[in-house]
Amino acid sequence: MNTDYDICVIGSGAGGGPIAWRLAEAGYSVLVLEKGPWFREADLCKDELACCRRPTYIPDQREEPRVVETEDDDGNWRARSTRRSGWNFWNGTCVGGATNFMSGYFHRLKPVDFHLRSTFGPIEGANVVDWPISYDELEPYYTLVEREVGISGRIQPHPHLEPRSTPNLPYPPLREHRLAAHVDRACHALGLQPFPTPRAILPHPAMGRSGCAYNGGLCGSSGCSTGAKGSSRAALLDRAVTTRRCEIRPHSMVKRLLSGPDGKVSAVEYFDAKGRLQRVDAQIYVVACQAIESARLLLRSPGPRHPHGLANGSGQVGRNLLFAGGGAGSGRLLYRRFSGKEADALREFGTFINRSLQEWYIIDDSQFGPKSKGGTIDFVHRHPAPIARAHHQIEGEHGLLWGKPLKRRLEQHFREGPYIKIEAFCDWLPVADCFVGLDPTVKDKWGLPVARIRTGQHVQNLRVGWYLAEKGAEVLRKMGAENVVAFAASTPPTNLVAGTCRFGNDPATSVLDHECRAHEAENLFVSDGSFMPTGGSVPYTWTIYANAFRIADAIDRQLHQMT
Amino acid sequence: MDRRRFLQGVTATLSMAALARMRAFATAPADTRKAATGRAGLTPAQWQVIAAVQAHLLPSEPEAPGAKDANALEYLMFMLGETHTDPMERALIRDGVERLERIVRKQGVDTFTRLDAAGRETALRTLEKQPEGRTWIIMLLDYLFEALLADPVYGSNPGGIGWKWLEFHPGYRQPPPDKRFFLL
Repeated sequence: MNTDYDICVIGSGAGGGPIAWRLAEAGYSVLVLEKGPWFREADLCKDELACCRRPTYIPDQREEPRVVETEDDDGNWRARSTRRSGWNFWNGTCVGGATNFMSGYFHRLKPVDFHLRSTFGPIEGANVVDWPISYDELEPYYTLVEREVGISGRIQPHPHLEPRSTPNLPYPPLREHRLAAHVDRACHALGLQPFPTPRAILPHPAMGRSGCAYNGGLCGSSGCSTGAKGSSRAALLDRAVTTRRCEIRPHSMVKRLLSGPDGKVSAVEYFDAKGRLQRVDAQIYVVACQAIESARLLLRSPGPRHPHGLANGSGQVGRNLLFAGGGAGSGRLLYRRFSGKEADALREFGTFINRSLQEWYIIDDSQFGPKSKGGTIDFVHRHPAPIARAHHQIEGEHGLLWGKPLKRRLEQHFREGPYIKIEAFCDWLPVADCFVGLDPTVKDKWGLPVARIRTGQHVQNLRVGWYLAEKGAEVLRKMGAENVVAFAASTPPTNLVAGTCRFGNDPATSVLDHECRAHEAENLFVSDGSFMPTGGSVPYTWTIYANAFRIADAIDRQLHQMT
Repeated sequence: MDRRRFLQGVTATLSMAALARMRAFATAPADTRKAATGRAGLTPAQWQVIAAVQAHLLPSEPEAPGAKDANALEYLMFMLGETHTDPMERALIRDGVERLERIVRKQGVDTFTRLDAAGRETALRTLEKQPEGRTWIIMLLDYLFEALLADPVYGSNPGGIGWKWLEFHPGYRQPPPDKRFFLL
């Protein structure tokens, strides 16, 4: 078959990068269509205005809004456009996608995550199912990611450590902040086993990338200026391009995937940087636009065999949207409680805490209830973003604070000691009221219907989130931290999204097969986090990377058979 | 808080007249809009009011910089005139100045800058009681925080004066002039 490219990948984040690099390396021609711009390392700076206060790395919501439905106190769903709201669920629209702006706290899933339903039984009100593959099938790809994306750290045995085919991570740990020793001491006093958090950050130059510049907590939300962070761009796409078989076209917004009478995808139509409609074809098409946009693209791509959207005969496209459930908390160590030398050590700003606890990955606690899936606790720096932090100091007891009282509050907040934050991750259970559809009226600047996102969640997320956050808070209190708070929020955190095209063996209840090929279109794959039927109790990125490498092998086999 | 989310709350509390003005403003042809906004559509006297409000909200002290030390007025002028800025923000800033001046006139003085420190405090506390007024003060505070704590490449926070005061370390790499957010 004579096509423009062997493989066309739509989206360039954690789901797109591995496919592009592996298959270009294997000798195939690959086209990557990315709707956003292509920022190079020189463009990415530590700039709070750029990262966090202006829409630099995400679309302008006046041009590309979404509609978000939230539940009010009476159980009604209230829809609101993101045109004027900051709660927009975009995480980085550019070459490399959201991986440019991740913190890179990397954890594998555990074997139990692949069969939650058979281990813990059904949960009322949740669509929990087992995965069609086991941990063993993904393990070699987790290891591949460690090497090729670059994961640093030190493997330390603990009760829930997953099986590994190699004894340790390929890159040594990043330098640690003094707070790590405080976390360790408190955990050991409580009989807990903390371990160094694996990070997708290179501690030293490798693979043509530089090592970490040590910006402490500034990495999250900001792009990396050295290439140390294992973004899809720095770690994979830059290498894919050097094969000369991979072409990346930024500013390319895919309008739809076309399909023929046989159900297979036949071409892609996209708007180029000048808004002109272009068409390209390939033998294999890979959708990797992050879960919300991937579902939106399939839903707006009906065809002769796909009347309800591409690969949506089951009606499952867009269903079972997942976020990362969990809780959070914080506390603070005051310099004045420590000797001069120790206080000086605590003042150091560039290094990382990098400590995690997975003691409660499974909660076996009669006070909580029957044995349940729990999660992960990470101990991290509070994001240093000073403008945002100053904003949070303006509420006084009798109105807004300003003048000298505000200045004294700012001094107290910023100068008296480091904060330490808990991030707890638990499963966001898949439920009927958490999904993506097409909005019937709101269109983006290309005239395409925007995503409409319903954000329902299961009460179990909150129960587990509270449980974990409180466990983390105990550690903070043991450290001698002050002002310790812990909570679980009912609104979804929007930086991690998955689900919407779950994989499975039954075409009636899943969109993709066990290799993430569409049941209804054999030349279509979805390689971002959309495939996940359940999310696990960790950030998803490592798993998305690993699974995308697995899909690349499946595509290689399929193309091999075709020729 | 994210600015857009914040602004969404703002629109809910704006007066109908202000909303109508904003709509007219937002739909005006580009060239008219440019003419109308020179310096965000504020008169020199209104800018003087803003400078005085900024100095009241974040006064200068020998050991702790204030609005003037951070070049906060110039920063606000620059950002409001910047083409990426949502026109709604300019309208909101003007609306707040007008509200404040109405309050001041009720206090028997013709403009905010003629009030002493106690009078300024009273006027701003009165303004704070109006939802729109409270929103306006928060906007000014946020612009002050930006002026004090954003990278000096944006023309404020000279020499990192705000960072030094609050012991913030900027990290690597700081944006050079050609990588400011509106040029990316």
